[in-house]
Amino acid sequence: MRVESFDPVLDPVWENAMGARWIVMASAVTLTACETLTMSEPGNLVPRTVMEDASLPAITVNGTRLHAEFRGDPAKPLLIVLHGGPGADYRSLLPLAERYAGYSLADHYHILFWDQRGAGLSERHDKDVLTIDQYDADLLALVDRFAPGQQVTLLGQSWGGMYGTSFINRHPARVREAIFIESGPLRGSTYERIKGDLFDLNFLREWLNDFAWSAQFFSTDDHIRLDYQLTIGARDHQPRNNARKGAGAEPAWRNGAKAARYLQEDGQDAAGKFNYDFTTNLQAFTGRVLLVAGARSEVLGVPLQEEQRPLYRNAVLKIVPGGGHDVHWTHTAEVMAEIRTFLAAPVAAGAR
Amino acid sequence: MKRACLLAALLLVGQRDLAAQWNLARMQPGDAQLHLSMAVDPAVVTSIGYGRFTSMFGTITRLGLETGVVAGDAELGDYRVRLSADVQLVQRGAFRVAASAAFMTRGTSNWVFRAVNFGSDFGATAGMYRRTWFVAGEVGFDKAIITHVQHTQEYRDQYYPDAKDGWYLNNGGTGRLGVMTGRSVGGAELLLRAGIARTQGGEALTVPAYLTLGLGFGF
Repeated sequence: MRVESFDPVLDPVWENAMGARWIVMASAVTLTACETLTMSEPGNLVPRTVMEDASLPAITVNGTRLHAEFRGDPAKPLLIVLHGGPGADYRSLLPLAERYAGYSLADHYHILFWDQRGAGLSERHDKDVLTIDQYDADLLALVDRFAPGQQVTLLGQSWGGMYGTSFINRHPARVREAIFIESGPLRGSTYERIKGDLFDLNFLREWLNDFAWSAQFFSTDDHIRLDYQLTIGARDHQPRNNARKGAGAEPAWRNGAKAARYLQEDGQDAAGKFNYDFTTNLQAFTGRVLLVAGARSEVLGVPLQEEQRPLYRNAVLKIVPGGGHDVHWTHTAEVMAEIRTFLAAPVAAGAR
Repeated sequence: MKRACLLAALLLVGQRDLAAQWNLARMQPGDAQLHLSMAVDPAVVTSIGYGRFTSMFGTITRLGLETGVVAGDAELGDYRVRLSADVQLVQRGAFRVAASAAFMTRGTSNWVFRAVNFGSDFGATAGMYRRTWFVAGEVGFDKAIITHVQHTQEYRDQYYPDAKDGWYLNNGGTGRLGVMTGRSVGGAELLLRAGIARTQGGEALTVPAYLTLGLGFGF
């Protein structure tokens, strides 16, 4: 055998083996010497939440720490902003508090921006407190705390419109009026009917394979990795929303994966079919509702909003030309013009 | 003892691929094999591989190289390359047990980040192997050891400007439990493999099952 009669100087095989060994050792030393990072460390992959960054504005409600901030005069009526998702955040809704054509909501309202439980930069939670009932209790607590004995105005986008409608359905007397931009389906049966049009689940799609392939690089065993993975699919999974991509796309801070998952599961039956209904008592609400749709939003836009408008007693639908599902971000001035006109109309009798 | 040493050596270098899945009863030292496969594992992956059967430490061993690309847009940013070794540990008549180990590198490019990963995979199969068919069960664990992540400007602009690029260590892994079966016709062999996968922490994957259809040619 070669090993019994080798010449370490002359034997090329031995030289090759030694070379390979040195390469392996050098590689190991190099990798060891590199500063390595940990995916589960807050701030490495996704932003820190209010539990990890004390400098973030926050409030505590119902035992959870919520990322929140106000705009406007505290003496003015309260307007609560409800972001999309579930699981997303209010970052892309902040421009709604800016001034457009001399008008700002902040001149007329005390505006509360907040990331919902388990979402955005708010405290993370697990399944047991990520329910529709808990979300309702959180919003009611906010209303009671910041507008005790008063009615509030709700402004929701996408899931935020569903959330706001659910709240109105349960507490119609606590809401003066509502503005819902590109609201999602208010009934599970509607969601079941349109979800095949909404999601692009062709198993050869790049986004779906990128999403699945990421499991080869990290396993989703904690919140941070789950949130990070969800972001991989967030951009392209609903192509018919025709939202802007690339430069100027709608920004966000963090997708709360568990909030996204468990809030949806809470609206499903044991077979995984959506069976929620946020409209069972909606006719008890006499306040006005403005529905805004982006003309280019193919599934959640005009067709859905026209279908859902009669579910409210007093709702109008305004269509923003050129806008997709992210119309509040890409066409903020046009959306604000519609909101301004709507809010300038006389408030219904009996409102407080 | 020799087999244990060989297995230990394999573990040191670090396969969920087809290496241990071909019909061991058909192969002899000196044989070679080309294989093609299409899998959902966990993305849609098309692979081509080469295996060489040798006799080491008194048992049949397969050394393999496989490369695969992930379906989607016409780009090669999502891939994997595996160097694998499989060794037959036990044979009692038609019953055989084999262990496998692999070192692999994988790459991905999506709108959030680009990454290159180095990992290992250890597995075992046990089943009945005849010359024209086999059926076996498998267990295994795929470990993502170290990954270099570079975030895209789009992610920084849209989500998180301070996302950290660099080498991420110990990023979890994926366990698997499944079955496989193969049928041979002449020099060709058709293989079907399926099972369930869980993360290291026991969580279900986005695609909780894997499925492989393979075609091998021995020569």
